[in-house]
Amino acid sequence: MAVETIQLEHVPASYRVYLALFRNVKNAAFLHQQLLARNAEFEYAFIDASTIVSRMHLLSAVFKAVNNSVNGVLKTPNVHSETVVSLSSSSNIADAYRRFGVSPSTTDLFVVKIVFPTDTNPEPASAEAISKHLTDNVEGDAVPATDDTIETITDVRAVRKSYKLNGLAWLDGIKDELVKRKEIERLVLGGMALRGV
Amino acid sequence: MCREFSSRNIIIPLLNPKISSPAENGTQSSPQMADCLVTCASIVFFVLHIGLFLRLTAAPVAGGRRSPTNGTGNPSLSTPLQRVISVILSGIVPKTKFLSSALPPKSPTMAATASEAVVHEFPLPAILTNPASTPPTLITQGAEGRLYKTTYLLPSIPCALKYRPPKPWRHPILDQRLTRHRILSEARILSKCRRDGLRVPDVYALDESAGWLMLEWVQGTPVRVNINQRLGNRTEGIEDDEELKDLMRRIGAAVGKMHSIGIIHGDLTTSNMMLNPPAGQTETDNVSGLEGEIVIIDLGLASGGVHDEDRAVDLYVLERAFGSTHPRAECVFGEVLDAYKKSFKQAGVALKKLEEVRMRGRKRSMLG
Repeated sequence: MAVETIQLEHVPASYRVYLALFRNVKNAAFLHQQLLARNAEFEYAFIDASTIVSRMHLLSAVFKAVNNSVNGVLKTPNVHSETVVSLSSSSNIADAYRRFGVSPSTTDLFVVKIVFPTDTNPEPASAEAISKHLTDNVEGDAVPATDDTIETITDVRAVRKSYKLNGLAWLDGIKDELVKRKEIERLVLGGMALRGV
Repeated sequence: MCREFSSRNIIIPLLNPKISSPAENGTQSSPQMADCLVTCASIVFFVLHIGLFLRLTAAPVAGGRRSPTNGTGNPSLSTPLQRVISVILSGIVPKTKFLSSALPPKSPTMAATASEAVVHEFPLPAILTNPASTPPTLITQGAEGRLYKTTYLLPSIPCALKYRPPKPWRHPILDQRLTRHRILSEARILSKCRRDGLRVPDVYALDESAGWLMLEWVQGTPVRVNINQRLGNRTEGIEDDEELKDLMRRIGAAVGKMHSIGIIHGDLTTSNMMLNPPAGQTETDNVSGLEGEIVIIDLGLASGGVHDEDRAVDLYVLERAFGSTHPRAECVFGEVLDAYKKSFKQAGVALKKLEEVRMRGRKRSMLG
């Protein structure tokens, strides 16, 4: 299995973004534990895939985190935790970890790795190294992260709750599921963009 | 998106954000300058003296202020008097071109002004200097900011980037606060409109300290273009144009929806509405057609408000702007108000108020 390398617009060339999606993950509790123990080898953004509506949704969070990292205004310890927090529409960091991060009950998992050269580590990890490390440590089936796959994983009810999208009569009134989904995505993006401002 | 930024003065909105009228749109001269013209002549001599005084005694003040990338403060402006002089100079000198001939040509201040006047290439905002698949294009320039078309995340997603550059003539702290406030208020209002189901551009991302706001790129053309295309050279049969009247009704419904959720646009014109063609239709097909969804854009001057007075003024501004942009189509404007009336409960009261506003103009007090 190979991680996907993502080239985002308006991100400095020194930043590399890698993305992988795992289904039927069995050792989420172990991964969760590594994060709590602040194991430096497990510096990834582990995201519960059921909270993600689309690739654009996830990549928006990555973009925000990278932008904050470039500007040096991270609100959390590193760019990976920032990615998880960027998904939230509220400024409560612990709440964001709980809602969007990996939990022992997670079965579908997004893994995002953002690397860039730093003073202490001028040679960031390569795609192969990340790929190998993930294959060794995540017990699950790696699948391509396409919008079609994501659609089957999304828990729309949880998403609507997280982004406070319940009680919007016009949204419930949309009959076409595809249009409705697109509208939810747009509202989610807006909610994320306005976090804490 | 915002094909025409609202031309707005920098300082006046501090006192009253709605002072500029739609007639002033698109012009580069600010209302404050217009007001100042009378006093300008008397100030000229004062400025001349100050300018000469600065050149002789405090050259670093003028030199430091002129630095185009100076966004972080100006340590040389230490005394309040110097700051005041600097503000006066920056407000007046660049606009009064005749000064450059009045002053000796070698004056450093004037030389800088002259070179700034001919430079048309703007420095890109920092975010756009990062690599992207297609280079950003400058769509329009307003009094306060610039609009670029670029891409968000992936090469396939176009977006509009509204950038408010730092204004070197303002105190850095004030500048930062104003920019931040304006970007956030626009983003909040867009987000609120979206949540309440009004079709406005989505907010993709923003960075209030860097001064940019990334918005959805709305396909289509401004309603102004569509109406003008439709009218062509016609002078007759406009009042019976059913398609045009239908467009008017959709405009009225969109404005009504916006008012019903408690948003006042502040600069309603046919240029600040896009006609988003139905899916599957390309942009070129739609230029003559009038079908599509109305998308209200440029809420940079918008505010929250549920007063009938504010709503009426909003409608009045639209009415006046419509009359001057499409004089021949004025006869169908009634359709806008009819549809507006049906769109929400308090619309009737707002329309009553509109008659009052028509009698006196949009300013209730005779100040400003």
